[in-house]
Amino acid sequence: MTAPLTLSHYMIVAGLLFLIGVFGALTRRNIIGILMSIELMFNAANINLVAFDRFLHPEGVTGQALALFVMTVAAAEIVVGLALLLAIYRGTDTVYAEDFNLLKG
Amino acid sequence: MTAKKPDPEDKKPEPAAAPAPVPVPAAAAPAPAPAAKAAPPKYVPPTPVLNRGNGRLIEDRFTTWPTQVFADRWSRPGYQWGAGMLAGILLGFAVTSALIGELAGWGDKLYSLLGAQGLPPLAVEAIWVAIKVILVMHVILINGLWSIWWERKISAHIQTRVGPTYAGSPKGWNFHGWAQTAIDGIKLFLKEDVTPAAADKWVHALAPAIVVVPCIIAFAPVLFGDGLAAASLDIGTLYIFAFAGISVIGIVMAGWGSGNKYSLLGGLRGAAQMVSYELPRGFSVVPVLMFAGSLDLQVIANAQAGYWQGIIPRWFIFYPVVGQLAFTIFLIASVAETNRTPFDIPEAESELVSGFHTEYSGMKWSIFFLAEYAYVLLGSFLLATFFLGGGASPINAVPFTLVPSWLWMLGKAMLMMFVFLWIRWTLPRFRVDQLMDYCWKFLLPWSFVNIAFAGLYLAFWLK
Amino acid sequence: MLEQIVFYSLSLLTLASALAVVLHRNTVHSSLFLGLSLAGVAGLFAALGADFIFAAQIMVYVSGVAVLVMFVVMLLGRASDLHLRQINERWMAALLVCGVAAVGLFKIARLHSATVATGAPRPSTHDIGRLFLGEWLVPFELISLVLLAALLGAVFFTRTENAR
Repeated sequence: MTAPLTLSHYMIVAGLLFLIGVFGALTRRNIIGILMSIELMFNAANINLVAFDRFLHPEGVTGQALALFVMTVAAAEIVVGLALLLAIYRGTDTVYAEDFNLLKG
Repeated sequence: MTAKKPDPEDKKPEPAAAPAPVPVPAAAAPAPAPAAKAAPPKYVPPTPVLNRGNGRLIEDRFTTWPTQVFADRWSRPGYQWGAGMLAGILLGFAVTSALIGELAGWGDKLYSLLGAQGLPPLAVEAIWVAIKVILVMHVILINGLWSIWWERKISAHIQTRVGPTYAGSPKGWNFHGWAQTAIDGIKLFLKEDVTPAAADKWVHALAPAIVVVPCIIAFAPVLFGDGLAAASLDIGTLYIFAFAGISVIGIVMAGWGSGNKYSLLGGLRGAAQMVSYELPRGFSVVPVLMFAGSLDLQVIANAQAGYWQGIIPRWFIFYPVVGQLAFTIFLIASVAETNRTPFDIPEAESELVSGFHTEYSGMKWSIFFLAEYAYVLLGSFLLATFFLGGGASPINAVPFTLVPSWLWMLGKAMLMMFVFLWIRWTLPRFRVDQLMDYCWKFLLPWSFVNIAFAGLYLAFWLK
Repeated sequence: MLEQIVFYSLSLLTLASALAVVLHRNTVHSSLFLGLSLAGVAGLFAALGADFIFAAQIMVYVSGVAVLVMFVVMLLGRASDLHLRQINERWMAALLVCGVAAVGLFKIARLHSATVATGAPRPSTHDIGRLFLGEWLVPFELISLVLLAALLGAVFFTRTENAR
């Protein structure tokens, strides 16, 4: 445990978080659950960006600035996603993904 | 006829004057006139009576008319001691700030003393951090004792009554009820902790913690004087605003976890209000940050040192338009953030029962209560740091500049807290849609305009 | 030593909360664990020395996005939903996909197992500010347009029929 922390440590944590998010996005029935899993994926990418900035380019802050952009886009996306969900809920009165099958052939 | 004679004359039985109606006022006047000069009868306390037959005597204190007790108060040694107790609490506050101050001054010596003990550096760090944490928590807890008592006294005097006067008195040590808050705390400890059956147990239990813990965390970079912060962070301001915003989650949890429609409504409205007012609060501080050039609270306080023409201190509140506008918006937004009247729809006692903390009793409720005053203290310290110079003396004369910076800081923070408390008992409550309109359509645009003004200032006036 | 303790405990917190987010039946509890997970990620940012991003993550995600998710969950949830199964029947395929991707990610991560951090982390606020108002001015303005679009979209989609 006293080995110094390397970039691979942070990449593995970010990777596991991303995979947990992918699993959630693929298997959750509730749409809000899917949106929450997408948030986890965004955060995993952010951890990676900031870790690259710290370990590979310590003299600049490009990774952190890019992580800020990703944060902003993720916030905008979840706002619109939840607004869409509210609109759909008013029409169909359900929030489960398997119930949105109106276009099914 | 009764208009001619003053009050003591009312003691004379009316039948003596009734047979002499208006036609003969002059005949009736001389007869009662000598009796009019009689002094008011000496007050004789009634004989103490037994208490409902269980053999115990009601204490003299409870059968004496309160006005008389009040008139004789300074003659009781217990009362004089009680005055000392209250001064002691104030002193406790000041001493804690002083300890923080002096410890920071001896900080290096203490740190090297700890290091010289031969402990591993991790243990030295841990002990040092533990000392700082204990000091900061001390400030927050004593603030609970002080500000709640002060609020009750201020509210009482604004409403021309006296407020708590009996508490803290074995046989008369009750100077203005100094111990009221402590005794209320003990009472709340002993109350039954009720969790509604329809409540989600974990969420209901964790909500008070999530409301109060971010406040304690947010006190880390708060400046208690010159160079007296528990953690000198480069992003101090942003850190405080970030953690102060986490309490919204606690309020939503409290509202939903109570399993009660009205609590949920109160919780969601409260959360909406707090999230909305975080924006003007953050944006109104941006001109201050522009003038100071950093988010670090110490740098902001240092940027306000010095005097214009040797007389007017360079506090940000004195900057011509930007300072006053920023101060006003930050003050209003802080009052709204802490859910105090006139913005206390979420916990409106006369409307939604108690809003999101309806279903809380005992210690959990008191944590919500203490958290509100801790946030008020945080807001007061921030107002003092951002706008009132934080530790700088307002007058450039020798006796004032010798006063230590932590005492000035404490004074300014207490002045700001008085403003918070004063506003609560003066203004009526906003309706919830008026409240949201006020934030989004008035405070937020004006805070943007304020940033534009600050930009113009920096471009053309200040260098 | 302190660095390792901080990193492992924060990682454990983040990953355990993320697992709770995707596996819990009660959506409200899921959203609370999402808040905890995002706070853990903020802690990891602080451990990496990115102080501005740490505070921004707490402000934007924990007291913004997580609160928003909680609002929607509480407004749209019904008591009957709290005990339904929340994982659909394709979970084995999803697990397989994640397993394969995990192997690939681990192989890539191991390429960097010798890269250590050099130098102490610096406060980043000034540098980020200079970047945003200097080299990256155009993306900065564009992102504000993105936020405006999101705001308008949210207002538009949540209007009711009689308010249209």
